[in-house]
Amino acid sequence: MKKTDFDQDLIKTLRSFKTNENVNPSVFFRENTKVRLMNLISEEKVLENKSSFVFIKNPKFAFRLAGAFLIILVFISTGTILAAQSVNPKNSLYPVKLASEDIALKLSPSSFKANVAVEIAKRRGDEIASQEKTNSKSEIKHGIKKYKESIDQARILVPSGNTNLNHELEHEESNLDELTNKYKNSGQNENQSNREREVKGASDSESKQLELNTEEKSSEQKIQESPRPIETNSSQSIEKTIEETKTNVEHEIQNVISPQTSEESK
Amino acid sequence: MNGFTKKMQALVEKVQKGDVNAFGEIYDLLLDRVYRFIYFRTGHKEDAEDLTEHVFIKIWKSISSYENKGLPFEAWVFRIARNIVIDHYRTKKQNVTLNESLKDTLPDNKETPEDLLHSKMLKEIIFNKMKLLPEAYNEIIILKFIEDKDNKEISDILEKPIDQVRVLQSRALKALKTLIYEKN
Repeated sequence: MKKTDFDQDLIKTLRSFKTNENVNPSVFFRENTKVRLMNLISEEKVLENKSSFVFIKNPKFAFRLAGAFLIILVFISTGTILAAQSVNPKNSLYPVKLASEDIALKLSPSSFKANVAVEIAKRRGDEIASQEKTNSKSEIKHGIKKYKESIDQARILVPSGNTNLNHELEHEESNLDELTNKYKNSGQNENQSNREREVKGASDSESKQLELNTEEKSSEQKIQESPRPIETNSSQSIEKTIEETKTNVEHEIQNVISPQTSEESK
Repeated sequence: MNGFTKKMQALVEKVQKGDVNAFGEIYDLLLDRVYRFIYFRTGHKEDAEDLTEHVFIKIWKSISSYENKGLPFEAWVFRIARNIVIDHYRTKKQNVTLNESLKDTLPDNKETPEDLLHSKMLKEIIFNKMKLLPEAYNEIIILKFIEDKDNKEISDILEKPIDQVRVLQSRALKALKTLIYEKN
């Protein structure tokens, strides 16, 4: 027999192995392994489904997780707000500062609103003082405008009987006058001066009310309805208000979570 | 893409969408091929059974990550089987012992190879001689001559260029013939 024939026969023999019973799996192995494999897969599938729906099947866990997330969110937000309290108008966090002041004013108790408003006015004044060193005149004029608006707002909120707050507000008004006169020649318009004069001699609340927007009007109404404010004055009133708000929010979260916690401890 | 490959691809897509029964069909279609490959590589029925089951568990666990980027699913499965066999030998280090034990079982007869070709004994001789071949020659003979894979498929499974597959194939056959002649 030639070697090439041997090659052919060798290949033929190798190919015939495929049909040989001995080199193929037994029927027992085939079936048994399949059953075992499919059971394993089904169990894995069940586990997979369980882990996917853990939030639906375990609402307690989901609720706890949501609570924790909310607390983290509150802390992050509070941190940013606190960081924003000391920034100047040029800083990117300045809008956060303004927004937090607005929220603090709205959320503070009616007896405390006047204090917050005066504090906001003071802040505007301090900002102008720091702006004078670095910023352009146009920015300072914009700051004066904001200062005036905050004084107007505080004037509405401060009751006539509160001598301390009135005294402080008068101080802010005179500061505003000085600033207005200082920057008058550099393009301050006449209308603004008129407004300042009106504010300074603001014995008649009617003229001020004409300048107020709808929101301010509603604020005034609230004040008129509210009891007289406590005669206290704090330079940190805004921070206090934010802290109070934060405490309230945390307290609310605790109230929401506490049933879960108490169940857990049981 | 041939009919078998198309069918296999469709089943794979079903499994990837969560159809467990489609995996059962894949098992039915590939079991013999995978088992044979492992059996010829190990020479032990028990090892072949254990490793085949291991291969299908591995397929199930990895099937979600399989993407048909020019590599047919069957070639991907053979790659898994091949790696599992390699790991098996790496951990147990049985290769030498197995080959030595097979040598002892070879038939001792006086017939010429030409005569043997037509006897039932030849199959046994070839089967036993195959295990004496180096690993690379052994697996290429299994894939090329027993499983009828073309060179492209073998190239995909072994992750070697087609030219190298051709050379290996020729050398493997020559080595097997030499072993058969030597002993007889």
